[in-house]
Amino acid sequence: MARGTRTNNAPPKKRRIANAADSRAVSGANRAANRPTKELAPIIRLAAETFRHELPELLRLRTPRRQWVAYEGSRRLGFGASKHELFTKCVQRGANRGNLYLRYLAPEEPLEAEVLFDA
Amino acid sequence: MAVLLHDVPFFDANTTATLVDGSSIVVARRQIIVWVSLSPLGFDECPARAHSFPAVLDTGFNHGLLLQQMHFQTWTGHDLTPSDFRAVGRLSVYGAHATLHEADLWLHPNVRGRRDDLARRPPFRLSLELGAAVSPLADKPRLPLLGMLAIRRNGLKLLIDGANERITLRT
Repeated sequence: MARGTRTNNAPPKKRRIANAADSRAVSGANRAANRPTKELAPIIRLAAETFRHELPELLRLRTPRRQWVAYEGSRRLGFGASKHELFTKCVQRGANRGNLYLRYLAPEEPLEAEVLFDA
Repeated sequence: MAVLLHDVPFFDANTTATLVDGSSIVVARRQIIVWVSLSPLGFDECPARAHSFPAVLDTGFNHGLLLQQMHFQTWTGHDLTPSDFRAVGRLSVYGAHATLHEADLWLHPNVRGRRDDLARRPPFRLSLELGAAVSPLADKPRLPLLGMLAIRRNGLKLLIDGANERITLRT
């Protein structure tokens, strides 16, 4: 056991299913583009708009194996039982991981969070 | 059914918890602390460089995960880069817009009855519906908040045992 540290016996596998640049090995040319940003990429905005538009239909398609949906821009890539499974499937099929937009199939709620008490 | 957190204690007095870097934070009385890590999507297991850090399990917080940018940059072991943690939305919180960054959350099982001692079991992935929200304020929340949307979307069962000052979390 350890305090606040990861303590698995076996060294964790680092397998990653995509070839995105590791954040600590970003080339100089990419460094500026890889600064933290609050801006949503246009392709993410498009995916979000498409998801909102299609949500009523998607809710009718929802099953235990179709709980998450993935978009790349306006293109619906597929469904999955879990976010990880769906993300993995999409990347293995050649989707650009940076463009993927994954949402849980549930009636959309306001994007507002409430913090009742913050001591 | 798997027991993710087993008899995690909470206390009637303020306590401290020690972070990976050796610094310590104050945990206010009766706050429920869980240890989590963040990673980009796509890992089959929690990556080794993802540090564990404390979050308050807050049933009064109605979203998934909310943390300060400072928490992200200094506690998680990651840089908040668009290639790994792309922005996927905005969330209104504290009267301003938090940016939602795509990420997986990993919940570290505890040694039964111990709050800050992590078990020798792999952490459990919690899917965040819209990623981790990075607070628009520099000083709030004081500690990262793990909220009800994470419990809801991952189908978890939370038992709060007030008599014995313990919580248990199961799949």
